[in-house]
Amino acid sequence: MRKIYIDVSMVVIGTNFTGIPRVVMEVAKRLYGNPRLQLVFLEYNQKQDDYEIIDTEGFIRFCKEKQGQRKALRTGRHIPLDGAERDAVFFDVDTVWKTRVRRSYLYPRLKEKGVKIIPFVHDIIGVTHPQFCPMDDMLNFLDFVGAVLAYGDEIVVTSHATEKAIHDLCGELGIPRKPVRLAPLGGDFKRQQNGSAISEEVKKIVGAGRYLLMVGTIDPRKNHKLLLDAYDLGLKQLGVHLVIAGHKGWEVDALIERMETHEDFGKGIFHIHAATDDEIDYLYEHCFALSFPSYVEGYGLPIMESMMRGVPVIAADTDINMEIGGQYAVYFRQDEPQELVNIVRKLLSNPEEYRSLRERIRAFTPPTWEETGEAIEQILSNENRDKS
Amino acid sequence: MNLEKQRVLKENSIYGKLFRLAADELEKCDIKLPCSKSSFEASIGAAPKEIDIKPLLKLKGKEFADALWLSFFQKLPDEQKTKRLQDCGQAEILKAAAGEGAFAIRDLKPVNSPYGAIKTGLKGKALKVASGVKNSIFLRKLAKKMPTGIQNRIRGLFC
Repeated sequence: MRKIYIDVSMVVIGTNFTGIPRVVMEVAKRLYGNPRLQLVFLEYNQKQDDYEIIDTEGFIRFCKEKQGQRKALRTGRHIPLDGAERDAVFFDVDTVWKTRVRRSYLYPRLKEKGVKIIPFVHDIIGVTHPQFCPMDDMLNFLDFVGAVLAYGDEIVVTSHATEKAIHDLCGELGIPRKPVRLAPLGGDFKRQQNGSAISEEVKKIVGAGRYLLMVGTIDPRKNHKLLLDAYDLGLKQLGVHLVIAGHKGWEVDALIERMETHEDFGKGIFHIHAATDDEIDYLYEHCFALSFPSYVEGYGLPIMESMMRGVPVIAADTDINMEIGGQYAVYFRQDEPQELVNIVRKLLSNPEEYRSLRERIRAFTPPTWEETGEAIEQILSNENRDKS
Repeated sequence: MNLEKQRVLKENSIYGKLFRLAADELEKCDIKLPCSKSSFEASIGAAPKEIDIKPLLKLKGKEFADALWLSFFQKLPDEQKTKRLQDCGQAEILKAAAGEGAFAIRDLKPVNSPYGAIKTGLKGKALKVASGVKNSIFLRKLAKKMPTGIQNRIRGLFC
């Protein structure tokens, strides 16, 4: 049985369990109970400057229920930061670049102790597209990526696009390629039927007419600007509304102002700030298509979520969007809002084509979290790696 | 390979090159990185609590302040602080950092300082008490519902 140490400091103090925290929880649930792995969850303890061991069963329960007393997870048992056992694996899957324990400090110490380091790199957007990241986050992320490339034994990624980006980066840095292993994320998130009522506001928006949906935090990387451009260029004339569901993120004041001062705001352009899971479901269910103009993604989960629901996807033709959307989505050239308008016009004027697109999507089967767990389990328990 | 050798390796290669790559990408978008490669590299490998000041001492003024803030707080000083500190000596900059709320909250212990013991400021002591309240999951959930501007102000107060 191999010991696997996982730093879950950010999840333990978290309040929002979407994105990477959600991945951490799904992966933890799938690895738990595997007879080949012994999981040791850790949280950085500031007072003692070490890792406190988190109760395994309690943490798995927390991952399932997403609630509960955090204090009850802490066992009072501690290990030094570099206290992982020789030949064990230190598996980083959380947003560890945001924790106090920099990987440029930790990894060389673990390496010195003979611990295998296997980081899960969700993306390297902070390196390839730093303009889309807050400056401090980006600098911390560079620290993390540097440590991964210097000390990681293997790197786990979710997509071929990220694998390629890492290989390209190694080339640019003039360092040997690291072994990169693929573990696509599951798309079979258990959709909780919370039974919460759909708000009148959301019902009204859905009832106002045909719409394109965009789901995700509003930030420059997601390129909501293109949607507003497309609206002005022709969606409005086609009678297609825009529904943007997502929290306001970083550096979007100008975009929000443009949206909120638009003459059609609240009539043809709608922003839903804090939709519940049930409301997001409802919005997907009734939309004409998901529109996804994002410049760069780690995985592009909304594409997956949309296709799982049988909803057509019209996305920018980036590597990652095309990898996730495959033959089931329709693509427009990045930064070409007119092409998005043209696609919508074509689908509207040719209902048969739209119907066949919907039909095609019905054949889509998402990767499952079981498969993700199995892929990761194989990577973590690969003892051949250690002999080579 | 021992730790010292690894440290030399890292200082000479990967981190600096990554910084340069990111800086070049930003430049294409007319964005200038507000800190130098030297400041960034000096902060690499900083411990979470007992932070060795020695690697930073080769820097001066703004570069020293940037490296110190990155090592201590994992962020750069804001514009106002940068302006205030850019012409200061290392001792003064260290004192300013020690006066930050985050210095006390994180219970930082700088080591190898040639400027004697570095003490937490009064503001820091008060904020350390307040941070116990701020860290409550309930209050953080509540704060997340506030407008971004207010959230940022609260965050700013603690660092």
